[in-house]
Amino acid sequence: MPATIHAYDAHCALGRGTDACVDALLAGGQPPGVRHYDFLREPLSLPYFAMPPAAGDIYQTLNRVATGVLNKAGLSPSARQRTAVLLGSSSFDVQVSEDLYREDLTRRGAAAVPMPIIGYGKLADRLATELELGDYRYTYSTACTSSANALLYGQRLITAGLADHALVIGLEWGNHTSVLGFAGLGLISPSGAMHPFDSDRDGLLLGEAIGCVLLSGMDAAPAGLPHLAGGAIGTDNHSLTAANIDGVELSRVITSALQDSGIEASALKGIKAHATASLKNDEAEAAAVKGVLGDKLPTVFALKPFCGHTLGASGALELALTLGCLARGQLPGNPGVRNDGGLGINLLRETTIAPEGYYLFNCFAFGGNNNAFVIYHPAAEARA
Amino acid sequence: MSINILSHYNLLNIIEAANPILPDLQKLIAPWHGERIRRIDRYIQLCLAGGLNCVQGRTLPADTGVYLASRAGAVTTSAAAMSFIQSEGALPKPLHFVNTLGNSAGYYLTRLLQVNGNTLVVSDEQLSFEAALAHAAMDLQAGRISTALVGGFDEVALPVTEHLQRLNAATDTAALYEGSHWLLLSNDQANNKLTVSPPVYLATQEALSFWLERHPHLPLQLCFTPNAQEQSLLAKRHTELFGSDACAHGVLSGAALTALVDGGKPSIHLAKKASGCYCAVAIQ
Repeated sequence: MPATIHAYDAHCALGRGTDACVDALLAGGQPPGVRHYDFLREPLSLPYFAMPPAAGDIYQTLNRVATGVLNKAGLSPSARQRTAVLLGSSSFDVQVSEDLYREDLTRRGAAAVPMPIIGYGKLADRLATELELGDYRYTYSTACTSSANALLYGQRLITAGLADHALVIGLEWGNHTSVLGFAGLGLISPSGAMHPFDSDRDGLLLGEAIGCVLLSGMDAAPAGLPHLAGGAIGTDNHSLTAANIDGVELSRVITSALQDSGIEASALKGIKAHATASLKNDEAEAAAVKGVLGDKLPTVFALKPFCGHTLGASGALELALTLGCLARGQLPGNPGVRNDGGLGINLLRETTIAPEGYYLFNCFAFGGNNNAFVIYHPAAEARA
Repeated sequence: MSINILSHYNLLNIIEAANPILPDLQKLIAPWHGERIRRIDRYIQLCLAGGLNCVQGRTLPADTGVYLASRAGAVTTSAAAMSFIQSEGALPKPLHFVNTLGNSAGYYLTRLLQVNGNTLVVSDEQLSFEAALAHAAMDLQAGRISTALVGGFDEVALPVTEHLQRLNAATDTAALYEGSHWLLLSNDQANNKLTVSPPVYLATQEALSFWLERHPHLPLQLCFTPNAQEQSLLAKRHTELFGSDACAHGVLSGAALTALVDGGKPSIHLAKKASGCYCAVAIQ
């Protein structure tokens, strides 16, 4: 059963709040900033899509963003008690742990305790307690698919009648472990720019973000809003760090997502590609998309070149960014794409009018966890 | 609707704080996968030891759902990566970093079991095992899958003094649990084995009282030490406290539930989150 997308918000390098993000996105975005790691034995500077500075720590910021989305939807106190919280992240509050450990090292030297804070679930539990939300408080840790999986289980909780609403949060809060871990794997773009699906793509850039989406039962939200039609999760255990370039397992999850949504591939008006600009993952995604849809593809667009790969947050964030564009009747072009035809995927270059209809979202992760989901977006007139 | 339990496995180790010896897990993996798996940490070993021993060499449907629970994740490896960065001033080793990610244990398990369906790592503080069970129940009851493998595992990261600080446990704690706890579930109604109910969340003591009144006959297994009010509420029920021999690991509920299945007697498992919510699961 579809779930209405009742309200949403996006915070990332493009801006704080969906409107600011979409303004910046449709204006072509900004290049990433630089993070300096001078404390390393071999100091390093890496491009990074940081969020604009704002007051508040991770806990206060999460509370503020979630409160804003709940207020947008106008949920009553009793409706909030029937609201599940589903948080997906790759790194949770590891930044807080890093800060505490650094202070501890200064104070106690070798006696300092690394990773002093543990517990994936405490952020969601704390947030739900603060906002007096319901008893279903789930946290997903499936690397880059974390919040995409949270979206699907939000829909499933509502469909099963266990919740009326599901507040889905994708979180990637800037930290050293994620950035330096990817640097250690050699996955950060040396050229400092992401060129998904190009022959000379050389890797990804990372970013921080919070994406927040409130799903509601179809009878618990106003008519005429977009909805999450369905989706699927699959496993590709070909390799721990890369999808199989034959795209077979990714094709399977896309096909399952279309079936779950009750639509044919031909109904798709657009595809938000995962598009990490990694050598193997782009090859696998291109093979999968063409395997399911053939060579005549609907509009394919990518958001990571504008905000970086926000890892576990990317599912919810990129949905919120896309919804913000669709609400303005537009799909975001990327004038920087070269479309050299290497993988047979041409990304949208010019911002274009967004048709009413179904849109596919791809989201793939380390460890072979793959997610694809489909939304339906009505025409702007219908919403007006 | 209850769900059939095809198989279960329970590995619950007590680690003495004064002499913290971590039992060998490779010998539990070896009967099901003879080749030594290199470059996996103890957290992944706990997953494999539990999962493989629960499945017992069965060929699972390829679309079997795998629902993994952990409260704390790969603590040893995450701490090593953080120490490498902050203390050594070096980039984390690639494999260390990859093994800090929630998916890595599931990757190895699904690869060995040759399943490629819905895989998930889910967490909810002290109710993390129940969270994985709830997700499996949702997918089984919706008919998305016919078979689900549910596993919870959490480790003791050495040295113990550091791990006790992470757990906010008393410094004089004598022993800690680590473990790996598994259920293989099916929605096949032809099976006449024990069943497990989907978890029921009860936000308040009032809700718990009301729910218990509607389930008057089954004995209760408690996975928390009841306070005075709870003792009063439960006074007329047959209750048994589980897991009081050591400091709880994150998925003690999984140990408790699999112990109930092992006992084969219909019972209600009752757990509680530090933030107050209760969760009940019936084994019948």
